[in-house]
Amino acid sequence: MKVKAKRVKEGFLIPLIDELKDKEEIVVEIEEETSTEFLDFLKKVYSGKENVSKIPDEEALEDALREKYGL
Amino acid sequence: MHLEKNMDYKILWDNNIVLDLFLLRTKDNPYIKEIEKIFVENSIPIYLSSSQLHNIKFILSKQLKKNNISISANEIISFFIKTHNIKLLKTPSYIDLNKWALNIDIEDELIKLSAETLDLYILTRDEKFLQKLREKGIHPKEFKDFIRKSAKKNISMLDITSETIYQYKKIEKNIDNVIKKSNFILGDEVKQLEEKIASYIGTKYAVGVSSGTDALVLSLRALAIQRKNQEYWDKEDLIITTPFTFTATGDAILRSGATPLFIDIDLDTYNINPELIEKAIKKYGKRVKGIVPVHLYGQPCNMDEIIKIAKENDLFIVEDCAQSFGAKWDGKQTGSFGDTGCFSFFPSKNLGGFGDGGMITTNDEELYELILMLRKHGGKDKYNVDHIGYNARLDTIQAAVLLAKKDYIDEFTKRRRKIAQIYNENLKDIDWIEIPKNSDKAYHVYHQYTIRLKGKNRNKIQQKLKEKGIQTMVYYPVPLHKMKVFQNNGMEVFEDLKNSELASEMVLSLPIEPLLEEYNLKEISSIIKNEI
Repeated sequence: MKVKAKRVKEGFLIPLIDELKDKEEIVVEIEEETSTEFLDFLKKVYSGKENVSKIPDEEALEDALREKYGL
Repeated sequence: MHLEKNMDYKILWDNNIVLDLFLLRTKDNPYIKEIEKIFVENSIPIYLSSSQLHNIKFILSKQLKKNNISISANEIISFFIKTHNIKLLKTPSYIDLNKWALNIDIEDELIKLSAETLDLYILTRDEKFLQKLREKGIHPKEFKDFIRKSAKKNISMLDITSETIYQYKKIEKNIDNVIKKSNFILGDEVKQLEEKIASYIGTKYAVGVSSGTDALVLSLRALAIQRKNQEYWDKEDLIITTPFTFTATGDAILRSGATPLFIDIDLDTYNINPELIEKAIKKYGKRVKGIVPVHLYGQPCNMDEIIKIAKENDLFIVEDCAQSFGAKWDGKQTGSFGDTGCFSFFPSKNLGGFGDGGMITTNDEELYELILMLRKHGGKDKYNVDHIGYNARLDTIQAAVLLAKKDYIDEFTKRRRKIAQIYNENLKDIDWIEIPKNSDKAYHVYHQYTIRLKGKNRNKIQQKLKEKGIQTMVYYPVPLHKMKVFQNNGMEVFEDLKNSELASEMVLSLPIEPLLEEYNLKEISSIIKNEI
């Protein structure tokens, strides 16, 4: 189960949803950030942004070919 | 996510996957970062077809430009190459040309065709392509399940396909060169390989022949011509060898006209016992003409002793190096001690071709000339020959493959020796196993890693290991003197051959594939240690 926790001054606030009502204690697992040398490199290149392509690949290819063949 | 047994992951990335990574398209492909991490952490090769390269680059360049990103596509690609294990595949020419004229995605067709050459899976999120690929297609969302399910279940003695893929680039280039020249018989590659092997072994000459067996036959025949001035040895001529070897060793002696004189082995090394050679010579005297020591499993025989005995008794030495390419005795390569050294390039050998092949090394010019003639019908001029010759040339295409694979031999020998070291460490304390013993002067190349089982039923152990997915082999279950071919066609046996018989009953060879990982070896050792 995934629950969104909100940042507050002292930490993160987990909402008291139905599944948690009877619990005295819960364990939260923090997933490690997935990264590799190449991903770190891309992160720098795109200044931390993701999803930088705006047009479909087909369109990008068509544009590139048009440019290459002077069409 | 760390995987085990990753030798089987053969996956080509479609353009959309490569571009998902390059452009960090986590909305379209939320799995891409994790997938890339799995490939990197486990050194899984990313296969690409050469047909993909231009489009990936075109699209990447345009996407970067459209988004005003200052870095060039070249820089991203260059960093990708540097940080990943990329394997490039050729795009086959045998696509049905009519498909070009149909309303189909020709790019996908080419990628599919490339992948099929090595039976690869294709990672793509193109639904149409996935439909076409059926079970060979993987969607990113199914990737983790796929690798879990396809984890290798069996460990075989060797995995020649994985080795070929590992070395494929050089092999492919060399084969293309042969096809281009179509010089299939004794082409340049044969000469190049002969020179390369002679230099590596440290002999003046090397002659490429059709198999390791033919290397032995041609050597023995050439020695009969040189030493007796006759085509074949006489039946009463004895040639000493071990009965604990592949049949080809003894068979070559018979085919050269002589009779094999079988002498027992040293149980520590499985190689012929030099002390017994001396004794046998005392018994048989001048009938003995030569010695064929076999460097079994890749461990050199005691060449100090064998050379001393041969010199004292004017005997020739033909080294059977079928299993010992790269092995050294006292720092000197096997194949450089004897009158000739006979190598096999059978596909499973340390240096193996894409079929049969062999090589004879020698420092003796006269023998070299004779072997050249025997290899090619018996004469320098094949239309006017001097000797009863053979059609026993090494094919150019095999030489081309071997030239490529030769570049990896030292790396692969190191890997084999490391495997042996890991096995030794893990099996040394098991009281019913005798691990291989290595002479101080021997540089063993572990064509086989062979243990001896004491007080255990070998068949049952083999069966148990088989049930656990581990292949083992017995080299060799029947010593030569027990075979009909020698009993019916002539052999001499010196004293008893108890050690050879014992070895035949007790030896067991374990998987020795150079590309096996340490965890594979530990798994095998652990099964042997704990479950048998």
